[in-house]
Amino acid sequence: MKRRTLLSVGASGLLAAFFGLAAPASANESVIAQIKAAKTIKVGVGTFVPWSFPNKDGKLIGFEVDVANRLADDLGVKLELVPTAWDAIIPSLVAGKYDVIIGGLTITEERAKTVDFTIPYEHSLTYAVVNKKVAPDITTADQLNAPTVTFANRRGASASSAKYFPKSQSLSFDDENTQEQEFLNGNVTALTVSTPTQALLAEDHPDIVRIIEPPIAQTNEAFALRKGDPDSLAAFNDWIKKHTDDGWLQQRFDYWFKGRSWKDQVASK
Amino acid sequence: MMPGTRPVRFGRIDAVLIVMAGVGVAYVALKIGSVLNYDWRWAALPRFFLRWDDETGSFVPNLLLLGLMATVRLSIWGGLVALAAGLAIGGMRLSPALGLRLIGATYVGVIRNIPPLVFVFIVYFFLSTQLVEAIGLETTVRSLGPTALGIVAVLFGAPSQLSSFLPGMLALGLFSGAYVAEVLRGGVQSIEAGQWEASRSLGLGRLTMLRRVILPQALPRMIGPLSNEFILLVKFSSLASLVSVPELTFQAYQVGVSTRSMFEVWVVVAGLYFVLSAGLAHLFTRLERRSPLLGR
Repeated sequence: MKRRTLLSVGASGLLAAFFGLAAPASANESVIAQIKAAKTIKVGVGTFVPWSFPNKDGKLIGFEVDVANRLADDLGVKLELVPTAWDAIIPSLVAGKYDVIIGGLTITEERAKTVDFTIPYEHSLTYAVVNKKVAPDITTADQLNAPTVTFANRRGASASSAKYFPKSQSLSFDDENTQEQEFLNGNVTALTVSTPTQALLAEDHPDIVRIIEPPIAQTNEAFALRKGDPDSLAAFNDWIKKHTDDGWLQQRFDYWFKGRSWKDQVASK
Repeated sequence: MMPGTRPVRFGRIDAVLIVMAGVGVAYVALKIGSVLNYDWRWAALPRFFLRWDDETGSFVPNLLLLGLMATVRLSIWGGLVALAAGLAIGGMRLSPALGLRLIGATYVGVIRNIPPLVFVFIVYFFLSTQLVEAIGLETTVRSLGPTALGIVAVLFGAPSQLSSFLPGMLALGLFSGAYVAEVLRGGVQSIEAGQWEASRSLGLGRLTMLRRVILPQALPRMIGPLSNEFILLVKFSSLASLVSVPELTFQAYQVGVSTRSMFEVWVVVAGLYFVLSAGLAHLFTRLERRSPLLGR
């Protein structure tokens, strides 16, 4: 009995020591140094059309994918894309599942409390779109700020209707598809979406969708890094500035957001 | 007449029920068509199972098939972890030592009272980072040669996703393990006291007693509940989609977003889960019937 007690106490002591020693060792090294050492960059992306989404062959394509590929090329490392559920994208970064988020993440004060943002590499506009069949007489943004109007919001999205239309009602959904389906079914009056979703919706359903002009907000999207890493932040900022100045980022943005030539790579009608 | 031996006859009630069921299904289908502003596009889906690859000149699995394979892997590995954990914890709960019994009871009590999703998040975000760093997973994977990588790919899926697959499988296994432990404990404790007393009077030690007398009688009773737990595990594996394990639910979401044909994808995926679970249920039923100690 004594031997067994000794054994079990010793075992629990070892276990405690193991967990104590297993504290993240990489807390002090900058992410850029880690990336160069491992010769691989892991990038967290969301799943939105046309930011980052699978094409007919199951390969990820999109604006973010192009940006990540260019970044990896310029750093001289291999790229690993990690598609992540949007709700878990920031917690996964903080837990160290990947090095950086390149996912059209809008800069907000809330988010800046947990992650560090680089300078913006992209600007989106937020639009309100209305279901013409449900509310045929709404044509301006002011009319949307009324208690009779219901919005469908996406949980975790920065474009929340409560901010811009405080008098309206809102319903929350997990993802883009369910949010849009609710709107198309006529169960909600309107949506707040970022470019180019409003144009894509209007093109696919011209008899239902009305885009309200002008856009209600302009947002800035940036890379997100774990906090406390000034070296990596500076390195990424330099990269973004370089490609904003040489026009490459704008050219890619126009291809994905303004043009529709990528549509034949996607399985659709 | 012996119960269960009555010949099957098709009567009036059966006809009425079948017609009512048919009408019900048709009504639902029509309603869906009219209320949902949706045009069904089933043709987009088959290419997401198998696609023609020009480079290799053959059919290659695409997202949905890859997701199905990942779900199967998650279920098998999760099941093994659950069995191991269940055996350990069940053994602890049956042990004469008070300390072990308390640890076992705490484990089961904590896990059974947390929702599975919360548990998966806790394991993935808190524990997995520690474990992955402690065993140096990333560096090990990067240093493997091509044959080793190939073996890893078959057993666990893409090596780059290993750092999310392992925590996912661990979380599922540990969660299910609590329930398996209870099934094991219940099975062993259901053996009547006479068996324990008789073996004790024959002078058998505890381990021999369990191995030769108790477990052979307890195991056939546990096959039903254990198969139940395994089928539940297969369905709980869909929770791993929220922690970026590329299994079937995750891939369904990817495909649904990019093709904008959400309903078709979800219906197909539900069908796949159904086939998987029903197949397993059938297997387990056959296993139960063939068990020698059931006296059939």
